[in-house]
Amino acid sequence: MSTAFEKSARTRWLALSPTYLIIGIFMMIPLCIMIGISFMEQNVYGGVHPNITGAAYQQILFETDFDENLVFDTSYLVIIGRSLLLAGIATIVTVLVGFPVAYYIARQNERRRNLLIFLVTLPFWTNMLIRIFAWLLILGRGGVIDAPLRFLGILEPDGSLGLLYSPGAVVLGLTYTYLPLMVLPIYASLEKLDFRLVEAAADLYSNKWGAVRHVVIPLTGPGIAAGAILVFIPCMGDFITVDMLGGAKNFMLGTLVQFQFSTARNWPFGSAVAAILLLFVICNMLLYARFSRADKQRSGS
Amino acid sequence: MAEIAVDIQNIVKHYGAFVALNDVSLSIDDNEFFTLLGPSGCGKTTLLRSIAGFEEVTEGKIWLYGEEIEDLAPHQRPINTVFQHYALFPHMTVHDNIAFGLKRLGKSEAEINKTVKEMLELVQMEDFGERRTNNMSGGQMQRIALARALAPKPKVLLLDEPLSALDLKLRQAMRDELQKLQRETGITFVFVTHDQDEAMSMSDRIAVMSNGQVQQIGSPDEIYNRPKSRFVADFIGDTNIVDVTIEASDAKSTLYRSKGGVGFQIERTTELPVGREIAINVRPENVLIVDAGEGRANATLTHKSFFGRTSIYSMELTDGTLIKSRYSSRDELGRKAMSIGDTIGIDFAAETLAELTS
Amino acid sequence: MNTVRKTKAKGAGNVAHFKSLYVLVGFFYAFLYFPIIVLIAYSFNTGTRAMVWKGFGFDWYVKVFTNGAILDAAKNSLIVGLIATILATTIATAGALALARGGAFKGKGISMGIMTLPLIVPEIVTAVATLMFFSAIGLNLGLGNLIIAHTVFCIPFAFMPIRARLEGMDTYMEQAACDLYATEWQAFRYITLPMMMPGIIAGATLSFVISLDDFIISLMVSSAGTTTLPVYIYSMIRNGISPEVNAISTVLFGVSLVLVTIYWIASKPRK
Repeated sequence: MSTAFEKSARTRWLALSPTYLIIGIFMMIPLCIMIGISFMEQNVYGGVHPNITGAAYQQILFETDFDENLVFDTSYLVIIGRSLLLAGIATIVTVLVGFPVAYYIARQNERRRNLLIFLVTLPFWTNMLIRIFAWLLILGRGGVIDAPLRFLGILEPDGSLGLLYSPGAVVLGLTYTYLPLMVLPIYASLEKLDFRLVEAAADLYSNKWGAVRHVVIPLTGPGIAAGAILVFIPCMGDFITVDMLGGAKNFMLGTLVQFQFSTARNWPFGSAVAAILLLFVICNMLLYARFSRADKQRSGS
Repeated sequence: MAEIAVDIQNIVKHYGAFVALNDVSLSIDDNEFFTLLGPSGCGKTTLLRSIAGFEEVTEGKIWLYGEEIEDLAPHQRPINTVFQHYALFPHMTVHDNIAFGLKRLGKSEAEINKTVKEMLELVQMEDFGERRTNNMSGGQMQRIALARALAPKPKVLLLDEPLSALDLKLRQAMRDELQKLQRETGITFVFVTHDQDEAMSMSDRIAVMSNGQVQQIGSPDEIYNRPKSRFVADFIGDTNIVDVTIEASDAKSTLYRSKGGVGFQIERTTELPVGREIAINVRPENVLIVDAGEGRANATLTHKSFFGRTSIYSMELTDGTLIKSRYSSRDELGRKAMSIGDTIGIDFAAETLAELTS
Repeated sequence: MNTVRKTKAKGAGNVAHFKSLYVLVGFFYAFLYFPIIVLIAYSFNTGTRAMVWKGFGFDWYVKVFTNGAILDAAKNSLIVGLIATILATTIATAGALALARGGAFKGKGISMGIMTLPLIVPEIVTAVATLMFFSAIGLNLGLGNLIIAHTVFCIPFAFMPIRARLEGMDTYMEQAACDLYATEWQAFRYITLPMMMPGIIAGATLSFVISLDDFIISLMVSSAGTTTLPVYIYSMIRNGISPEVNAISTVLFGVSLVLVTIYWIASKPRK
């Protein structure tokens, strides 16, 4: 059968056709429809009127005041900015925490390494909803953080630190959710590293921090970059964490889109925002692809 | 006249622009242990795989006992292969591995069990039937691979460098076993290796290959003592090669003149014309050291290396050509000592000289 | 390489181990598991107020397993998960064979791109696009809609372990099989497929987990009567924190544990 795949284009395409069919029909066409709808007119009762208009995109930057004039509106730009900021912070935090952890794991013996990586993977395959729900329990009024503080009298009997529904809570939730996704690629990079290089560098730089800065980090650059992409992009489009931990005052792109398809019933606008998110993701992937290809050429791998 | 097992005619194999086999022709006899020998990249494995059917030839024909096979798929050819890294099926027991070919051929359960048992006995691994193949030693896997390939009683057995993954002692033991197997089963073996000791010790005939072409085919003795090309002479063992021109020849002797003017009058006839430029080849063990003036040419001793069992003497002819002579220590007993710088003579029997025409 | 590693880890402690790392790593794992432990702990709280500890008991588990709506949602999740997994794994297996065994063919890059497209597109985007698509073509198959949507994003997850396994299998076994009189199909059936099986199991397990856990796409695509478990849990949370959620969450965590363990064992590289 192997040579059949190698020799016969017909066999190959036969085997690939279900994939093309399913993903073509049920993913690519929907995306095209979405982009199409983003150029249509909102029907306030749900759905769209079949008129072509750029109104949805316009809405991102402008709103119309009572005199039908376009006024520059920053509210959605704020949301975009918040998304970039919080996703960015979460990404940075995951790098700062994830890199040392990955380094530690990579230096253990094989059995321990497998166990430690397993323990990192397990939460990630647990339902994200319930993991974030747990943070509700922890951060919420009278939750795991408030309760002992109330008991100790630091807080009123019904007081709360108000940790929930804040940008901080969102960053915490995002970091928590996507930390494993940062650890794994960095670990994969480190595992391939020949630590004799690091020993030699430690000699040269006469301390281990120098070795890490000048040898380990550059060599694991691809792993870190991969992790950054794997974290940043989902953070930008995240819904659950932002919705449950951020609340109505901390909209990001994910919750903004969802809102258009539930309460706001503005499909074109929701599609427009989703299309912009998609575009953003594609640009990042292309950048990453170019960066990793250039990097591969440089290191001659 | 022996029956021809495999007849290969004008095989050409291209991989894109790269020519792996360049007009290869040879024929392998029935019940022969035939070896394809050459450095890596010479095309020997490609040729073997073409016989097996894993490679499609670009041009040429292959006959198996009179039947044309180059267009047949591997499973249609009654030929089996022992792979370099054994390729045992890891998810099956030893028994099922050996039985695999027989099952595909539709043999009955009873016959399969009987044959598997025979094969295990043949390779001396009777108790291994129910073992898994993934924690066995190299030598054991080797033998299972052999048993598996022999079980369907193929017309020809192909062996692709089967011993190269084994350590030295095991390799030597397996060489004897393989030879014995070939004789016992009577199946034609086609063996691929880059190791000349293996080729020389095991084969009935050897085809020396380089750069996609067959350089020479012959018995180990012929290849060793009567090489026809520089490549073959040089590839097998140590040798002395001198570029010469045929200066004169008659019914009784031939005069070879080296580029530097040294003349070798040898009592043998040559079929080559006077004036032809060739090289002559004499193996170091055939070069005798005699007193100056009493041999075929004079030389100055430049170096002696002692290896325990043998010694190698390096010397320089008057025209600067370097010659090596090998003596076994036994033959040196009682010989007077020589020092570096001494002038000596070299001699060799006429029949030990080979003409290298390419 | 292994022996070099061992001596380095023992003797040259300077670069191998930064002492302060122990603390950070400990904190890391505590942070990772703390919420889960909180969930599990509170699931045994017999009180109704999630934050007030009343006593230890299985009350909420009983409540969960007798709650018809929850059981329905769970049933839906399982049905969708199973069917989507079977479809996705089959499709991914075929695709993986073509991509891993096809050599370098024209269109390989695009095929890889299509195969992994659902991974690149943010889930929220897929969710709304799918919703509008079904609405536009008027497809209303109930659970069928969900199954289709799930199959799409499960394909790449099934694909990756299968492809990894195939790439790690060198083709000599299959050649040996053909050498031993197996036709291409027989070589596939008796050699390739069994040897691929750990990869297929890993892929199927992964796909199932992903389907069970899916929320945002299920939220958008499901309609009344076709709620999946995560969507139902979300509505429960939205309606006020109910202790039943703790119990369900613990059960779900247990299920994930089992499935991830299966995946882990199935993807252990064969020596």
